[in-house]
Amino acid sequence: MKKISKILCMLLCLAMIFSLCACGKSDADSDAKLSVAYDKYLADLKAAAGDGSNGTLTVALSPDFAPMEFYDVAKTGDDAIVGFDVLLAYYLAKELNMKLVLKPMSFDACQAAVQTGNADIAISGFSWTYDRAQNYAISDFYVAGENETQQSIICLKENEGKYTKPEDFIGSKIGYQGASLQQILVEETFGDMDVDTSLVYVDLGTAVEALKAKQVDFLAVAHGNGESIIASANDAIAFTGFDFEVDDIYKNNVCLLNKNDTELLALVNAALAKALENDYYSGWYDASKVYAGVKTLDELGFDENGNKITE
Amino acid sequence: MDFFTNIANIMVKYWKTFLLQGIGYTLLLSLIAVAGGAFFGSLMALAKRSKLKILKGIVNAIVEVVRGTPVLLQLYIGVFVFPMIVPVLSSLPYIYSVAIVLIINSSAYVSEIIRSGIEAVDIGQMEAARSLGLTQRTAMLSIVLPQAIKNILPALGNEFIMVVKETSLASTFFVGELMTAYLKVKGYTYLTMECLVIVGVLYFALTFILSKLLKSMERRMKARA
Repeated sequence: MKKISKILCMLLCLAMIFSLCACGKSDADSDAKLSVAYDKYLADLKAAAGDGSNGTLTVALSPDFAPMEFYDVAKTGDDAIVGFDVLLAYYLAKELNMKLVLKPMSFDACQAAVQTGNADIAISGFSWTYDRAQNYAISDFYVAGENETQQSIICLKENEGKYTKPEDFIGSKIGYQGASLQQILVEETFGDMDVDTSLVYVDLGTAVEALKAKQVDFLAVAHGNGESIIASANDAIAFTGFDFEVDDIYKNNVCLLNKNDTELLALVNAALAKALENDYYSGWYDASKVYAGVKTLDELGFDENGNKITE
Repeated sequence: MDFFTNIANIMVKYWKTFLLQGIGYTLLLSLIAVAGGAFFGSLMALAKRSKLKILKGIVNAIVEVVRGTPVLLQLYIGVFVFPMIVPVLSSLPYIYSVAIVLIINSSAYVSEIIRSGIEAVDIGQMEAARSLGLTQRTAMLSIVLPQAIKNILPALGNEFIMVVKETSLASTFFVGELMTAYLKVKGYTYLTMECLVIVGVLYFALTFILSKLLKSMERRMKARA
């Protein structure tokens, strides 16, 4: 019994040290600054929202994918889910005069949710693929900055800039997230070369750990995600300098809808066309990037109050 | 050294997510699952001993299906198929469907625990009670069950610890327990290993404390017997 209470004491002490640390320091200031531009866009969208008389729009998304969608644990409720796709979801709800409900779940559960009618639409950085087009109604494209248009390969810092053309990768191992656009790109580019492309990862985080542990030499990632990864890896990781040649159909993101939901699809497409015409996307994407800590307000042309500076 | 600084930084910034939300929801879900499981599990154990063949058959079928399929699959079915049957669920957060699935899952296991606990009591006890003129009912309630409970409670405790770990699968639907806390923080920081270590330590602390508590309870029960 004595032993047990000793161990319990130790655990309690540990917990207390952690919570003491937490009291001593507050990151609230810097966080508020990161979200300032994003919050502005969100507030605008919420203010413009109608009375929601057309019912609810249930959106499935997988918030573990900064800057497209991720959690801000400082916020509560639905507001804690933030990122580019969340702004897009609010925009769509506003345009359709519907009430927005966000349903967070894992990436493949998003597809199941749409298929079973559990969610009306999945907005989670999906790319167009042939198989998805067979099984879902797919919306028109939306443009999340260069997140999809530029597809890159990352490596450990020591290999930075050494690999620039496909032949440079012969004899190495390239990993990617399963069922992603990167998988298609890697298979298209390196499929007939002597490159080991058998390393498939469930999520990017695991893939990055494998890269750090040198279990895999390279990772294929969307450029925006690559920036997030590099920003939090304390410079241990870098871009190789190689970018994939991306087919136009893959360059942008799409929303997935239930195959039978043609009515909603038409409405969504109309709203997306309007957003493209008015160039809403770049502002949303830049604000989300600042929020994710990838770029500063200054670098992306915001003033310190989060207003886009227009020349 | 970077590794530990990262862990410290993550803890400083996200301790609420891990300690309050994560552990809170993990314990809440486990408690609901085990309490609900104990209640419905007892009913199912009763049904298993009933003389109605149909009732027995149905309960046995449920138990076999639940024990023979992975929890993750049950969660997917619960979250996506239950709302089709019970429309109310579709407007509620996923945690309701998840809790229902965990209750069903744990009921199946608890019913087996109770059944085996009762069967472990020597049949001579029942025979002796009956030959002394007690009815089947009183013999069960005052002779067999009190002895069975001593077999059942420790196993129920183990089930609780199992459920604590099983709730991690509910993170597929971001219900807020410890593994969801990991997903949230990892999704933003891309520091996978660090978050995993934190969550691992917390899970271990939880189950370790629980199992020690259960042990001391068991000891007390033995002393009383």
